[in-house]
Amino acid sequence: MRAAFILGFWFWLASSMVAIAAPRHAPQAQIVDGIVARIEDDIITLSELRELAAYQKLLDGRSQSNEELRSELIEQWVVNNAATTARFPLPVGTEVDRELSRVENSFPSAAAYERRLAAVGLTSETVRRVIKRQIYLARYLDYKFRSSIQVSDIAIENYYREHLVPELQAKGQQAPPLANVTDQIRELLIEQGVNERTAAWFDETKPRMKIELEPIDASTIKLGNQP
Amino acid sequence: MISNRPWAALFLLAGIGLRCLAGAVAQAQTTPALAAQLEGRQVTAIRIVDQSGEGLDENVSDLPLRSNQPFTLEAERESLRQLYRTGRYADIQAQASDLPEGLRVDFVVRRNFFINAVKVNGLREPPSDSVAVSSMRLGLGEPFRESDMTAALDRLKSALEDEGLYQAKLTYHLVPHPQTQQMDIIVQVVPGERASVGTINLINQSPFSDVEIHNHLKLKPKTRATSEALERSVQNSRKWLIGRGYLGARVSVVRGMYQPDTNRVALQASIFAQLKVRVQVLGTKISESTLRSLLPIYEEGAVDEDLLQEGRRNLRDYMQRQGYFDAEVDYTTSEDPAEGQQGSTEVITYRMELGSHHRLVGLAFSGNHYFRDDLLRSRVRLQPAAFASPGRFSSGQLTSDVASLSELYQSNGFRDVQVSSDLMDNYHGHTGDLFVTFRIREGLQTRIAKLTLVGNHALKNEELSSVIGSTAGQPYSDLNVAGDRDNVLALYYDQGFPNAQFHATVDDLPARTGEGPRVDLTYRIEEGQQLRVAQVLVGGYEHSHPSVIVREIQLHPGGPMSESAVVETQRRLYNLGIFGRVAIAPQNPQGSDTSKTIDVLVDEARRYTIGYGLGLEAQRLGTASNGPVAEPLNFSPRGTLEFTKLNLTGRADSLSFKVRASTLQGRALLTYSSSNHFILPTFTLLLTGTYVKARDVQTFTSTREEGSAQLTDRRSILTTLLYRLVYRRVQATDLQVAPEQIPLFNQPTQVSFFSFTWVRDRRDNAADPARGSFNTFDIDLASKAIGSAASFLRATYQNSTYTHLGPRLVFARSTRLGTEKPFADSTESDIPLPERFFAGGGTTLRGFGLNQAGPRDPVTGFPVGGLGMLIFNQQLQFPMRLPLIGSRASGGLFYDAGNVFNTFSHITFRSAPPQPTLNLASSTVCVTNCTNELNYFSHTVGFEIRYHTPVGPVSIDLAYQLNPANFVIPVNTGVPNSPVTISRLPAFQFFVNLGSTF
Repeated sequence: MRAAFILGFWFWLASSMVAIAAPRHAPQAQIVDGIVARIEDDIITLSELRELAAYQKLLDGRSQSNEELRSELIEQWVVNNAATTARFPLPVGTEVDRELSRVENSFPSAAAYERRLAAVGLTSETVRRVIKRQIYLARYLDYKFRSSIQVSDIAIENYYREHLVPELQAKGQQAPPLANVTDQIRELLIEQGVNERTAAWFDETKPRMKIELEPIDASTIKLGNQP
Repeated sequence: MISNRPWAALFLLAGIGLRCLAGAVAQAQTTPALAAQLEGRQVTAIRIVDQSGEGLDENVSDLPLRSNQPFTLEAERESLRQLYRTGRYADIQAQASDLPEGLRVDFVVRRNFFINAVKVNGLREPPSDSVAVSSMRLGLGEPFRESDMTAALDRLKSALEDEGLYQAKLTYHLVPHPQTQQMDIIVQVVPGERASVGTINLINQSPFSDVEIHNHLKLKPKTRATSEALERSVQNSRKWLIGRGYLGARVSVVRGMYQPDTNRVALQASIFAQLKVRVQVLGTKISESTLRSLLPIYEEGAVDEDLLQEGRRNLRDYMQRQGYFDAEVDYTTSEDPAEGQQGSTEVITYRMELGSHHRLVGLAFSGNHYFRDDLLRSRVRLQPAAFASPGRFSSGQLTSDVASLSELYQSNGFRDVQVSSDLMDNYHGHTGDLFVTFRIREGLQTRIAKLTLVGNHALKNEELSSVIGSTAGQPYSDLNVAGDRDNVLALYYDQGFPNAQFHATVDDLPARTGEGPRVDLTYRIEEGQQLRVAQVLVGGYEHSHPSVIVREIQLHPGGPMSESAVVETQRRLYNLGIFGRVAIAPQNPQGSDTSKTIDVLVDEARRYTIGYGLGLEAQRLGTASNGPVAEPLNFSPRGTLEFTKLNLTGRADSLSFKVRASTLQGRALLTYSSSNHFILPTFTLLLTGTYVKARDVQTFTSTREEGSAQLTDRRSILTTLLYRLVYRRVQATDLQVAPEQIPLFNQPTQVSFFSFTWVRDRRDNAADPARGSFNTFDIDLASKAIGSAASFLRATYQNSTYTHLGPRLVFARSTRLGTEKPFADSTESDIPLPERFFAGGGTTLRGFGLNQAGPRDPVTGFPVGGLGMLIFNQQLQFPMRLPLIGSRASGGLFYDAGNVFNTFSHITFRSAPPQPTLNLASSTVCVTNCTNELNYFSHTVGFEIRYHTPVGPVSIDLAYQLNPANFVIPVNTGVPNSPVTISRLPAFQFFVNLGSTF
């Protein structure tokens, strides 16, 4: 009995000590945001990366890897920086509305779109903001490079003969006459030219910029230890 | 390939139509729903905390994300970005905690470190420490990122390789200062052996052989491959080629591959010299040296159209300056293949049509009402001929003067002014004489009706008005507005507004009858944000006491980040003389934070300086001929040694010891100086101890021991007060006369006195004044009570003025008055010789030889100084033009008057000196005026030629005393009661002076 009492006392004492020593219940802090890259005097945030990933998932059902997303955000920053420095005008509301409608209409119904939005953790305001930014950047690139691209009739004809006709024939389809698709091919070749020049521009610009990457571990992103 | 570029998604989304975005399914975005969960939740608290959880700001209010408002991811993200842009934090994380009362958002930060001292140790020059440090481009106050170190070390390595240090090993370590968030970077260099010059690949495109080129490159296998050696090689070779007439020669020496096994670096030398150039001048003779100074093709080492044209203009202006105002110069180029043995030669021929010789005899102005002639005259650079000066005239200068006058009028509101010039040749029938008249049509003056200041909040209208010239009623001009803009912005910059902007608008008002044009002026100011000083951090010192640095800092916490305060702080710290480098920079300069920490980083100069020298000294102290004052020429080896320790006690003080020794003269000087003494910025303490043994006078050798303590109080930029305590012991030994003939004044003695000096210096240039005044009053009190052999009072006053009469025409005058009086039980004869007044020489009375004015010893005939002094100097300085020297010379006519007198009461304006007379029967015995007191007022006239140098004028004075005195001297100074003879002071004197005469 006495031994049981003593044992009980020590158990009570130990429990009390543990209770005293243990931290009081603290609210669990959730990481909302952080820095995933530094570029010049600005940053790319984790929330931007998450947002782009969610947007890609909204459209395609899947998204790129973290590193690819960050790389894309860095390139978006480069374009945005050049566009704002050049005071390139922002897209008007109707342009954004039209593009937003295109996205919404790509879903079977409005309810399906809403469900998808909730599933990827986006709001319609966020989608609108992302679309507005994407239009802005794309328009700027088009403005910057389109005028320098000349597409010759020979190039159109070559594309028709070497790409379009074989592709359609492989699908068992009849190729339309060249005259009927000239404009579409010209536009496609211009877009390719813009892409090539954009790629070259990035390759030239990015090495000259001060870019620092932080390790990305989305669930437990930590502050770097380096000074 | 293209479709894998991430940015291609932009086109997809914008409807332009590229395919995109293959890739793995990301894991990071598995929690996007978190943001949606938080979106719209009420935020109750926002904090900034560091990694340890310590709160840095418990109640953040100036971020887009706000307390008591719903959470939005966009506001959170913008807040994070805004915090990052302050530059204070290296890393930031946003954390949200769900509390019963709502959402708490913590920004958990890691604070930035900022670059402080950067040191490179172990370096062997070249490069110097400062070059090595600056090559790394690690700026003081910039945020420190260790990732930048790789590039910084690469840059340093490249700088070392430029100096041949290819084997250098670099390591670094960091010394963080968490208290101040500063980071010291210490780079350790193991330089290794310096590389030598290896193989030289010569690309020789010149008519010279490879051997000749190699000889002039002077790059031997043992030559160290430093940048200086390579540059010297290029310059030597180029100079040689240019000297051979290849003006367009190009030489380059570039580094090639480094060979580590031999520690040599291969070089590639390229020589291009194809065309030889010869210049000939037809129509006049110009010396080769003048031609080289006038033709830029020699200096530039190149021949092109622009340089040839510039040479043509220079030749024309040169001839016009010589008086050939109509001179015309043209040039042609031709190739002479036969002339050169080594390739063809380009011959540049300058042909001159000199025309007749002219002389500008006068200038006049007509039509000017607003400005007087003399003001306009001071604005033109044409200069009429004057004595020994042909004047200055050229057609280019005339055009330039017309433009200058127009600008003057326009800046005073005469917007429609028209200035033209009339050049009259053969003026008044004198062939070649020119007269220029500037004709001015002033037009109406535009004045400012009203000035409105808009947008100024930090600075009041009154403050701005003090620097604005274009106020109501003042003349209007674009030039004045531009000046106002500079002044206003300077004021704002000085108040910590680095982004201040200034815009001016002018509105013309309708004309009113009887009034000239009027305008309303509006100055619109965009102040921008004011930067303030948060704190000042001082670093880099090792031996200096921090208070010495702190007291010189003109930036104060809470005050504006003033540009002028930064400059002034830098100036003051450099003035202490103990720092080799002073850097001041705001910490985190790019950050959006408006409260800046200021880093003051000093680099202490080397504390020890040792200098030494050896030489030969030749001295003749008497005359070369036989006689009582004759002495042979003496030679002696001379050695000098100097030792200085700066910052002796860490309080910006210094100790210096100098010794100069020869058998003719010995001098030792110990000096201690300390600025800002008694913690008063205007006080400087100077302690000196001097020992001099010199054969000052032919009849004795002087030994001087002197100690002094001087406190200088610089009360203002104009006024200085000096307080001194001086102890001086003078001995005369090695007497060359019989003991009974030893003059009283040469007896060993000692003086000790307090001295007070007041100096007020308003001269524009102390070395060569043209305007202003200089006043000094000095009073010395010597007393036996403080160790002096005699008690006496000495007072000296000097007043000098310099009046500018015209371009380089200056009238200078000076008055010097001095008196000495014994007191207590001392007599006049007790006052030691060196403490008496002496005069004569290039800076006092130019009618006398050095220190030869005033009373003389009746026994030896040597000057013995006096107790009264009165000296007047007058000089008119005028411009001159001399062959070879040109206009850097000036002339002067002077008149000096006065003398040194036995006593103050003996001062007289009597011009006739006392004439000693000899016994008629025995013409070797003096009967009257035998004491050699020579109390008379001397008059001297003379001429000076002055050559102006950057360190002051060098002048040659020729003086003629109108009333030189006679005095008696013994025929044989070694024999008592020797017969005497009468000698006359020389009337002509000749001096060479460095610096201003008075």
